[in-house]
Amino acid sequence: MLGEAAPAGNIVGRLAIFVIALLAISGNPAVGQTAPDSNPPESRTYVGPAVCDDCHQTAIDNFAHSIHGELFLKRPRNDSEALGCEACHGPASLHVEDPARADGIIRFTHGSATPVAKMNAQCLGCHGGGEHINWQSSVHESEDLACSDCHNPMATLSARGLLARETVNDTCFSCHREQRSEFRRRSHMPLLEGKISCTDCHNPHGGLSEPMLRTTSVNETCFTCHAEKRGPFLFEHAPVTESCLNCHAPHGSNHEKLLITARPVLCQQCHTMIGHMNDPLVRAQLASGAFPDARLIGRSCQNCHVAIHGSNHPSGAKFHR
Amino acid sequence: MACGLAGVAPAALAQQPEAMSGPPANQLNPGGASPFLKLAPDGLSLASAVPRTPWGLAYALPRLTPEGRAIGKSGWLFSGFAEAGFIGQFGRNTDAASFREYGDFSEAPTLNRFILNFSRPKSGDYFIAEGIGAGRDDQAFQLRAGRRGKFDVRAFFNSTPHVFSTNARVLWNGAGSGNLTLPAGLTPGASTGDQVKAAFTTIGESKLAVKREKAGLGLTYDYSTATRLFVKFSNEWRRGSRPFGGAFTYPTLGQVTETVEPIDYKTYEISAGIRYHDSRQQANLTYSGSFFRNDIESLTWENPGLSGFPVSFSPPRGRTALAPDNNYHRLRGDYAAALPAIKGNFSANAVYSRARQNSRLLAPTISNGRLDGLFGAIDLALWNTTAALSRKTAEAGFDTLLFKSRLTSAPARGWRLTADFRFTDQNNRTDYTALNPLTGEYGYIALDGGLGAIIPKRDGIFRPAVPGSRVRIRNVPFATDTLEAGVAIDYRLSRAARLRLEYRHQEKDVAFR
Repeated sequence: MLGEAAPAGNIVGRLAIFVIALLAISGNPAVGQTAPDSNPPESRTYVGPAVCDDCHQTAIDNFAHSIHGELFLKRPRNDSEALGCEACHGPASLHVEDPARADGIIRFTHGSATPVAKMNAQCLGCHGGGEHINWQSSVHESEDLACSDCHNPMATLSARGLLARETVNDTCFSCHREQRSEFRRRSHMPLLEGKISCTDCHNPHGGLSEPMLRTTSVNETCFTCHAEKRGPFLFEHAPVTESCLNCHAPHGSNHEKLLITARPVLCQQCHTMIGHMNDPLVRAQLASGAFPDARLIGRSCQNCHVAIHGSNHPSGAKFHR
Repeated sequence: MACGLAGVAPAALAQQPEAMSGPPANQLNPGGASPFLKLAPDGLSLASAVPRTPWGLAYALPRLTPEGRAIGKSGWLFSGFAEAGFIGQFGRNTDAASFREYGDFSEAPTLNRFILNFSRPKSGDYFIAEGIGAGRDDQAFQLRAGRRGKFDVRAFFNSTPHVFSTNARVLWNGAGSGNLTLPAGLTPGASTGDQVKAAFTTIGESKLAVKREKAGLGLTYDYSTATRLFVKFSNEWRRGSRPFGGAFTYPTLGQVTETVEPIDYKTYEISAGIRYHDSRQQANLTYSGSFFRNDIESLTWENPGLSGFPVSFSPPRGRTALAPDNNYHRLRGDYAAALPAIKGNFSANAVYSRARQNSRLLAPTISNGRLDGLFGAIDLALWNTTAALSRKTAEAGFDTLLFKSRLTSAPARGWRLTADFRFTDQNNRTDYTALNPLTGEYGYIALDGGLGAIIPKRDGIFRPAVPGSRVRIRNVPFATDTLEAGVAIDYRLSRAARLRLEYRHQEKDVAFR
């Protein structure tokens, strides 16, 4: 049977904040939305890629060498791809009549009059499903991120994925500066060394878990590379079974082994009972001290509790074997 | 020092395979880019000097793409480049583990980056061979072939070193294997501190490192613009050694050792699935399997001894179990549909995974002899064979079922309503009781007898008549069931700000807290 519900006081508090906010902003229109289109859609017509080439030769030259360009301009597979530029940018007749008109065409860059939802709908028309199936209401989508914030199909800037920067990691680090600095800590996985990328663990288009992981949980993600930790073991260590993040910081740590803090302090955060796990340890117990203690040397608690992720030994109930 | 031999065409794909993998890369070239491509002088577009993303970040500038040289009249074009040179080292600390942690900088000639690109524009066919760090521990290669818009076949090999130490002084012989033996002059279980110090004077520095090599093959096929099929295989080897521990008593009483764990892992993976999408709905069905194998099931090491005081029993050896083989299966289904009537979207995901591990169990101890303790003698001969086990294999299992769904609606500009539900059911099927059928006793032999020799109550055997006999006699099958549900109303004030009113309900049922 599942446990109790959240206290009602939290609900009242949240409601109060929202009502006050509603009163403060009532009457203000949401920013970033387009004014009603004064021209009905029927007046927009397709002009063909040859017309686009008159003014946008550089862009089309870059585009022609990209994946989309090779398909749309040389071997379209359907009527939509055969539209060329207008397959994504929509009918361009109004744009040709008045290039300065803000809503004359669907634009994907900064300052565009096109709502982000409309930009994304253009991309998802072909690229829906697959890795993007959880895009709606994902963290990035909820924060009004456009596909063109991370991707630029107008040229081949990256080796993979038509990204806005040269690599996946550079693209993510454009916004996620904290993770960029975390990976430069002493203990880190080989992301900066080019051996893994952000998308090995995360799906930026939406996932099944809070940090948009590729799998259902943190542990499942870690086990894709660290299958030896999956077990299941004869004797499990509860914080390991719950989440690897109980002890590890996946983006980087200044402690060894990506630990969130040094041993034995890490272990003592849970193991507060009487006994050797919680004996006071002082300078004298360092390796250079008068009474060296294994708990302050080398692998600390793991000098003895070697199978800390779980033991498959019949005498491993305390992870010694 | 490096030199380029030809122009280059950037690597482009017919379609993005599942879980996009990057180009071959290493520490000298983390992005796998070509160092010889020049920036396009006109940038992305003459219409805008510095095009920016909707959020205002500047796009990277494109590089000039060579057209390639025609190969006779075949219609095929070729372009490529190679970056080669010599890596030399000078200065202090070039051997430091942190400097070499994930890179191979050994002094030698190097072919660091190369791409051979064949393409046939008329048909959209392509073949690309590329690599980096050829012959080094951080090398990587990829072969890709296909037809743009139709299919992609990819083979890859990637090597990643991980250096833990370059100045480790390992007391034992046999580092990297499952059996560590003391050097001549030391007696297992009875060596003195002076003897161990003398042994170290003849032991030099050694490197503790693991190399991870992974090779795989993948096929992505677009049956139509709406349907995609894919299948991937991979095999990963990890070999080497890394720092490890091992003890025979409490940490304050000596006999704690810093050993070396052998790593000889293989992980086989397979993944296959089908993707469908049209203008109204999308669906995915994916199977993934992972099969882990460890060729070294245990580590046995000789105990130098080194107690601070005389002990009645000093185990000459210890044995610990290493990571067991395991099998993992996962079946995942995703569905999403647009709901124009409410200007919204519905999505649902279901995932079932099953992990099993049934390796042979080791005997409770490797020690021989008798432990004479406060509560009577323990004949270790009745504990050092698998006849002392309640069963011979682990029979461990862990199943997880996840179901998630979400409904969103944008009834008016700036507003969004969201309702979501998530349920996770974990089932830990492992059920092991430490019962010795030879003696009828519950428990085990702690630290191969070393702990019981000093603290009888901690010898590992459960004695119900003895106060304070705290012995774990069975496993604890930890599992957590979680149910979450929530509704939220969002109102977007501006590009950078939104208001959110949310109610979330979460229930957690933790088995065996």
